Amino acid sequence: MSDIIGIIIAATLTLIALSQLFKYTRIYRIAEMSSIAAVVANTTVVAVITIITKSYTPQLIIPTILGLSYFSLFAGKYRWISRYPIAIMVGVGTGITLRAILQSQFIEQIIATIKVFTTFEPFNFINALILAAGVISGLTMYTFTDKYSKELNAVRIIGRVFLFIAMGTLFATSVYGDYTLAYNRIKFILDFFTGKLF
Amino acid sequence: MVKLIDFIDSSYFSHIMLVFIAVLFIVRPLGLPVVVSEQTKSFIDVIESLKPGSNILIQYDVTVAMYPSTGIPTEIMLRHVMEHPFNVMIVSGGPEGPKLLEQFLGGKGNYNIQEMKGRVYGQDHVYLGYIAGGETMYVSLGSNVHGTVVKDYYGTPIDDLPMMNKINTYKDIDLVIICEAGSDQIDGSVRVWATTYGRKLIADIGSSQYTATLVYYPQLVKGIINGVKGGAEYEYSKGKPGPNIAGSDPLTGLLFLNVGLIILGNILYYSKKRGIIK
Repeated sequence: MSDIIGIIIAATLTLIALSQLFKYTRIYRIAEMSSIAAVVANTTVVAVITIITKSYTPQLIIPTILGLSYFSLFAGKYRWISRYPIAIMVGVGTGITLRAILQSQFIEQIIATIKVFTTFEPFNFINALILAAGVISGLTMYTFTDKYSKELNAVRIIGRVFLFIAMGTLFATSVYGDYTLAYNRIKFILDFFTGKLF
Repeated sequence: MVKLIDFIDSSYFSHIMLVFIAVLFIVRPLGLPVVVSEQTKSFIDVIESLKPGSNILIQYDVTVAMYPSTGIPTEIMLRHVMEHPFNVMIVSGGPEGPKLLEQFLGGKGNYNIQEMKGRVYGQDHVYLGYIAGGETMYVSLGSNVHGTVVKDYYGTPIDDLPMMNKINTYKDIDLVIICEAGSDQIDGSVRVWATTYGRKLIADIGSSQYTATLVYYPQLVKGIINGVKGGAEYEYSKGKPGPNIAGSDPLTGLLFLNVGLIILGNILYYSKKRGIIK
């Protein structure tokens, strides 16, 4: 029974959400707020349950104290205490990120660009050339020291084309992702009205 | 005529067409061919190349909002992994993960795990639940699993679970599978598992993350499932048609609609600009 009620609520909220395609109404705002509220409620409950079930262990005492220290932000006189957990989190987070960022997002990318030249298959070699041309010309877009050189400007134009293609691909995959969500909701409504969900 | 063109030029037309095309292809699918991409093939090959008894970590960071794009393709992957004699450890870095995975593990997903005989919780698969901390948490998990997590999702001490005695640090993990839908999570996961710990890594991501993940392929990420498209290729490869293949026809139809609308929009724009349409 609870499943059926859930499905009816979901279908109603989906129809209300889809109504926004034609007109922005107050009832749409209710559906929007309900969705946000449900996610926030779930996050809060899961976080509280996690703290209750997993924090009663010796090795998590210090992290729990540090976590609770965040709430000193609301106690005007003692808000300075919150600086300690924030400082620790920022310090640890930055240290962990910097440790690997150079390797994964810089050195490995250069290796991948060079490595493709080691292939002797014709099509792969052409691919490698296009990749290298894209990387080099794309990088010249971010070189600002040689503004008036005609030769460099020509390379920059090629780089701009490569960047447009890359951004177009990024946008297209993003649109595909959005269409997946739209298709899923439309199918849900169809299944609801044809009785497949019950 | 002018009113008709104004209507075509409005957002109402594209919305009506979107719903119409989606419904049309759902009701009457064309059965367009599915071509398995190199990334999907690599993804499957990596899983199937593992030896029996290998330890797999699944980083399940799927969100409710992106479930259609990431969660549904993830189900076929989970089913595939569970069909093999691997030890599967699942962890969520986001608070929405447990509820979604609970449905799958509870047999409410598109691929029913309960049907698979011989899978015993605690012996060959464990769900550690939600652990806060993001990238920092994953680094900690890799360095000391038992120090980072004390109890599993169901409240059982992980020391009491037989499978967890085999997994202590990242060195015991043979493969990491990322299931993500977020905007920039893939970079952090690559930094932790592939760069810092040097683990074999494959990614099951939403389509909006595909381009961001492709830059790491095949150096750091050995295989990619690209949302529903990748899920359809996965199902086709495994000979198990499911919700992803069913969704590929309407999605292809919607993409053709998109291309058509772009062309139509440009024709109308330039026609108005040059005075052909007044």
